[in-house]
Amino acid sequence: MNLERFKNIGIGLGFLLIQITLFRHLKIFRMQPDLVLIFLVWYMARKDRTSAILMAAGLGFLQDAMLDFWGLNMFSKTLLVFLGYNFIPKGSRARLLVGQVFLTIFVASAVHNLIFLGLNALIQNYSAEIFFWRNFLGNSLYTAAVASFIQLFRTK
Amino acid sequence: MQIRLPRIADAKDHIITAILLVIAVALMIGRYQGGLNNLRKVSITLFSYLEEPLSNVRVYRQALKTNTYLRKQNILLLDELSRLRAAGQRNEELRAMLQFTRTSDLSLYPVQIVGKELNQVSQVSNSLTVDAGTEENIKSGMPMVTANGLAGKVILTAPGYAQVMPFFNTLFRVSAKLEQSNAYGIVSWDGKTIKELQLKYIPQTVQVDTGEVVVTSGYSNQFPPDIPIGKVIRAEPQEGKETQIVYVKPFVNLYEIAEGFIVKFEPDTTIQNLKQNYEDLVE
Repeated sequence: MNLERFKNIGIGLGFLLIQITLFRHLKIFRMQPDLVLIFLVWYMARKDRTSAILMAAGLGFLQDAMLDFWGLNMFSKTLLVFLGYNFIPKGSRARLLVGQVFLTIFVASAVHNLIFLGLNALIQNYSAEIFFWRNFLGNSLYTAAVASFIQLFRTK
Repeated sequence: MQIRLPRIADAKDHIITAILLVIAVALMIGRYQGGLNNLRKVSITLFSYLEEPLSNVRVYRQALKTNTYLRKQNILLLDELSRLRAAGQRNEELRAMLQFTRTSDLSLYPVQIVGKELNQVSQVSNSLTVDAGTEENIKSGMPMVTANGLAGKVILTAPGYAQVMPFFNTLFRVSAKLEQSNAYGIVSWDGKTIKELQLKYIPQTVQVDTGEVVVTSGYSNQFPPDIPIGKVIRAEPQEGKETQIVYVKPFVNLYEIAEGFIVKFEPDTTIQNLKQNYEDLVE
């Protein structure tokens, strides 16, 4: 395992930590962004598919462990990375526009939340607590907005 | 025809994904089982350590919200308390007035004070305006009283309103007497302090006790007799004269009253005629 991979794992854990301690509480009308997902999309754009899948599974597992969801995030994120990897623009040296970032993250987040909710409905676990549209559209939009915000202030 | 079978390396991602998804499903299904349950306990403990500092922030924020809410409630309650106190005080005043109307033999007309001028600088302009006038048969010279005692007398009337000269006016005069000794004099105000009135022309030979009640005498034919005015604070002999000044603390607090009664008292014309005849005879 090279240094860069360590660095990426560290960044991923950092994102996870920030998500769990901070962003999870920045709710607007009970909607919350998913910083881990933003990191995974960024990671997909830079690394190979296998690494991205493993990173998604690892971070998803840790997120589940922290939030007591056990498997839900791991499943959704792994499947999202597997399905969406080929659709993410890669190796582009040009800085993406905010609109592009928003749209990419929104679609990724929507797919992720759809998988999450579908799985959730399937296991009949949290369906009573979760309002479908709020989680599907609300969380996706919020996540995309946060990603756009990060893109605005990101330096090369 | 050559069939190309995919190599394992090509399907590596599919295999990894499938394994990971199976693990995820296994986690979902087996979350309440022994081994995973212990892992959950560990993760929850770890999570609580992470959450602890943030929970302090949340507690602080919650405390701030609660504080704001309580301050609002406090203001509302203070306002309500103030209004209740005012209502209670007014209730007591009205009860006293009601009691007064029951016990008094005087013909009383209830009035509300709509204007109050109690300017100490220009004492002659001190006045009260009440919401009854000529339409209610209020006439100049009629006394104004409250449940506690005399407040002043009507000096001007208009339709719907009347102007009252309160006892805190240097032009105000009323014939009064000491309740016990019946010694009579004139009550007036010297304009120096709003704490006391002066009862003049009481002979020095008359013993005046502190606390003795001063009432209207009725001798002037301007006010009905026995309306309380105040109580004696002290008496001072006048130098070079055979009389003394009796200082009286009025029963009515002009600064606090909001309503009262106009006594529909009119001077007895027979007495007035007799007085006139007497003066003519003497002259």
